[in-house]
Amino acid sequence: MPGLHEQQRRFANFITATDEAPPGLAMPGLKSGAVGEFTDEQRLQIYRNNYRISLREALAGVYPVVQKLVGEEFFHHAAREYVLQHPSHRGNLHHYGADFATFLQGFPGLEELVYLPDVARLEWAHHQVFHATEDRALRLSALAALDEQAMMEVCFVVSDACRLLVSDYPVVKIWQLNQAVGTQETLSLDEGGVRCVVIRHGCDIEFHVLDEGGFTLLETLAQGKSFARACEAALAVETACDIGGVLQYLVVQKMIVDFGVPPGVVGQQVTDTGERK
Amino acid sequence: MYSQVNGSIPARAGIGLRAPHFQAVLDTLPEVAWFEAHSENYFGIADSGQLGGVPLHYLQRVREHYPVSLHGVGLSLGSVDPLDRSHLKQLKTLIEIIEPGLVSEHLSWSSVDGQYFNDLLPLPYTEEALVHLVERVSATQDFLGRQILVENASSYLEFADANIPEWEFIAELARRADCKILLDVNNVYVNAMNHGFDPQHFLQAVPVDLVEEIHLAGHTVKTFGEGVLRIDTHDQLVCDAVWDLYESAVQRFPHVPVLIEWDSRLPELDVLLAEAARADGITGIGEGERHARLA
Repeated sequence: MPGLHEQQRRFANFITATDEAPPGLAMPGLKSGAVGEFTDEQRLQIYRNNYRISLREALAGVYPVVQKLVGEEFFHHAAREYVLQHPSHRGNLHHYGADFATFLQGFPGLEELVYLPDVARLEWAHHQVFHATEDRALRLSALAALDEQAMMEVCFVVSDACRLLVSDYPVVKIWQLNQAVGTQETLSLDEGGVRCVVIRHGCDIEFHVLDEGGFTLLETLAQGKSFARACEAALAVETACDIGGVLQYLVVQKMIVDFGVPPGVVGQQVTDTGERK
Repeated sequence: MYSQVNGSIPARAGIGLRAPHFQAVLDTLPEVAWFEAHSENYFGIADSGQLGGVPLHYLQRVREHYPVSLHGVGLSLGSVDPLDRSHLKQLKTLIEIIEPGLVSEHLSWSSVDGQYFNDLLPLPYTEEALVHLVERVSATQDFLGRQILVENASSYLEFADANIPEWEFIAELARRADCKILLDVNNVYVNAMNHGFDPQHFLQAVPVDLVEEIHLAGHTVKTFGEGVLRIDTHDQLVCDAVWDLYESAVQRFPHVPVLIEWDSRLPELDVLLAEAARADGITGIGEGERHARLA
């Protein structure tokens, strides 16, 4: 008899295979049915179905708007392919489905729904934010204690409960329209794209549509660059960008929650409690 | 942290805590003795492994009013892969936050060679598997610094090399690993029907002092041509045959908490509460006695 490892491998190979599995697929050694007349394949097929359905339902839980837009039948078809191509690697199912947007991008039959991958990106961002750690508040007194030069060298920490998304399509409106049941409202793709921040405050998830300058500032900070570099980037795309106003907004909305001063910078060093050393 | 509520799980009926019921539970604080939460739903998905998220927020609020048990579905105790230390670490952190009365996992596997199936897959009941499970349960208990309960799983097949009856396997596991048993009465019934044994035999074979929790759930009867298989779907009311078996279980294992599980096609909260009340009726717990809340 095969050992436990080989048994589990064979079991896994069966349940992850397509229904047109290659002949000669090694089967785990099963006891012939004491009750009922079931073949080994029929018994194993129940596990194969459970496997596909549980991952498909995980996807449906994260991507309800995508499912609404393509219809349940097509969603099941796409999910089945996705599950075949993208195994789960965690015991926590909430990690599953991260690559669904990219997968949809090339999926046959969706050519006309050009905005669909970005809707999926928005839904994944929503999912991530839903499960993210709690947001903290920035230590304002510590920030105020910095002199101007130190302030420019600061690297801000973007909240874990915050995700950024750029789309050529009005995906936030698409998402919102699809929350309502039976809405007759339509929108035109000519409305154009959106730069959006998905953020959670307490249990509420919000979409904030930002101007190009403000979005670029936050995006540059999220890449770990200094405040000076972020200001340059923001002003390069929007010369009239109100840096002070944007910074205040990011703090008030808890999009930036902490900051660090790189070593060697002349300025006030700050302890965790915000007191000057 | 939750000093206003005694955290130990009372020998009464509880229900599974599901996300669609979070708000209703907090708004109505229903008359039910305790809640069980699927551990992984509260891990969050941060790369750092740090716990967080909306579900954890709700679980903490629920914990302020009720005892809570943590029931894992993703540790993959029976797998031959190494134990997932980051998963265990998250579980340990969740235990520190929630202070659960009981912590449980399944007698099953769900991953091999790094791939997860997110299902409770069956094990061959062999000495090799038993030795493996004893080591895994012991390692888990050592890591968590506490005893866990291991639940008998449902299955739709048996392995050719299995030579230990399921009831002996789980009892022996509990003895050797010094863990306790979560007896799922529905799973006993499902397996008895699927594999052709007397469910009473299973109950009588399990030592009384090892069972610390009982589960009840609904299952689905599937017909394939001439044959019938029972599938453990947790998507409907507990069936009469399982209620009858529960009455026998109560005779043998009195003073054990019982849980109503319902995981898909979730009905209104009231339906679960009514099932819990029915379970309490069988153990002789009346109206007004069910609520263990102190706050």
